[in-house]
Amino acid sequence: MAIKIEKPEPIAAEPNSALADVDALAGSLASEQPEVSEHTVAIEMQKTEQRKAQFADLKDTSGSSFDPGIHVTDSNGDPVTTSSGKLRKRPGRKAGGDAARQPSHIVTPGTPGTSTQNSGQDVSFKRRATGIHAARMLTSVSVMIGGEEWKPIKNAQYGVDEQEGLNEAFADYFEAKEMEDIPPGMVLTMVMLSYAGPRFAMPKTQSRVGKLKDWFASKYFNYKVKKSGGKVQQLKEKAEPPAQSETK
Amino acid sequence: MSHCLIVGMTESGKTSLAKQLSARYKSQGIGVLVLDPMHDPGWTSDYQTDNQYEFMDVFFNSRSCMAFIDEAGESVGQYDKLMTKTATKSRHWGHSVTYISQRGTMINRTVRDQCRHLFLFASALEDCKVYAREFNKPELVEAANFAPGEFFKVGRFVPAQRMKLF
Repeated sequence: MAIKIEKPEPIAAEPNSALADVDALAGSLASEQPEVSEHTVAIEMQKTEQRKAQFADLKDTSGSSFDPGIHVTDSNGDPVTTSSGKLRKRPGRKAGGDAARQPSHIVTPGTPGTSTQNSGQDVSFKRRATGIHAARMLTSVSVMIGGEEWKPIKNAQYGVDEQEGLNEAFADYFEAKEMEDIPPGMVLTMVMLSYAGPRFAMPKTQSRVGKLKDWFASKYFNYKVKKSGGKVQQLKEKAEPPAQSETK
Repeated sequence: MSHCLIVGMTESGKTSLAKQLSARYKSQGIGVLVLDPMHDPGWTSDYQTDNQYEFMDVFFNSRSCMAFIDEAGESVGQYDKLMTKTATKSRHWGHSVTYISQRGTMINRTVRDQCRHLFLFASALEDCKVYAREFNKPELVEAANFAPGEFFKVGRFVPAQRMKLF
């Protein structure tokens, strides 16, 4: 099925026929527009409805019911769940299920992109709110771990309000970075810190951590001695306490 | 089976052609749906979005529309089964889809094969050879030397025509 492509015959351009051509092109392409196959559309709709009916009683661990417009399905049309048992959602912003299927979702001519641009203020508000929430979470975790000293200072006389400053900074950052939710990794870290941090101040944990620290220090010391090779004696002498050397 | 593929380098005129076509369709009373990740306000459309899932919802609940998918190399790509349906199934809904991409090879073969028309603007020689083979039109390699605005109108069963947009 080899074809010659080395020496094509040149085709002369048709100059100054641009606008007329686009009209003609649009006309010819529009005339080839296929007919709606109502039966196929009906069958597809029926399949979707059947799928919805089939999984109508299905609820995931968070209590959400299955919607093929929102949730991911496998090649057989069955819903896919995450490892935590929730229905896996399609990526990207959601259209809102059945409501999105109404013709009213088509915007009026001449205002393209309205659906995404009008929601700009809401999105900005959400980002700032998330940033403030993250700042408050940070201070509460800090107080939990570090104690009262980490409580944000508020002094009206000097115009200091650390919590407000943090809130603003976080809100600006979240807005600039277009973050609408706190990253799950950040939440996990904060929760772990708030759980583990205060316990390191407890006596039993402190003694065990101390022992562990000593064990690691001795291992590290042995390693350094081994690595230094010819200086082993010197290092050992340095390491031995003076009282022992006197007794020898 | 009247889908179109518009391909060409940056600034070659492919989006200009698509926008002009969308305006013509609109003036003929045909519904125009646009999926454009770049939020270009230059389209004349009934519905425009940058979200492919919203687009698919509207697409499969409308009838007999002309749809334009800009940057199809990203949104359709090689493996997106959902977007591939816009080529394989949409004719039952009476839709015609125009895929716009810098390189046809960024879109999967199934979608390319469903396109009956090709508008080939200035492209790299290797890409032109691919179109020449797929459409069985050896003269398409000439598109490698095209100036901005020049393009080939190619049909599956008709000879290629060389045209100028601007």
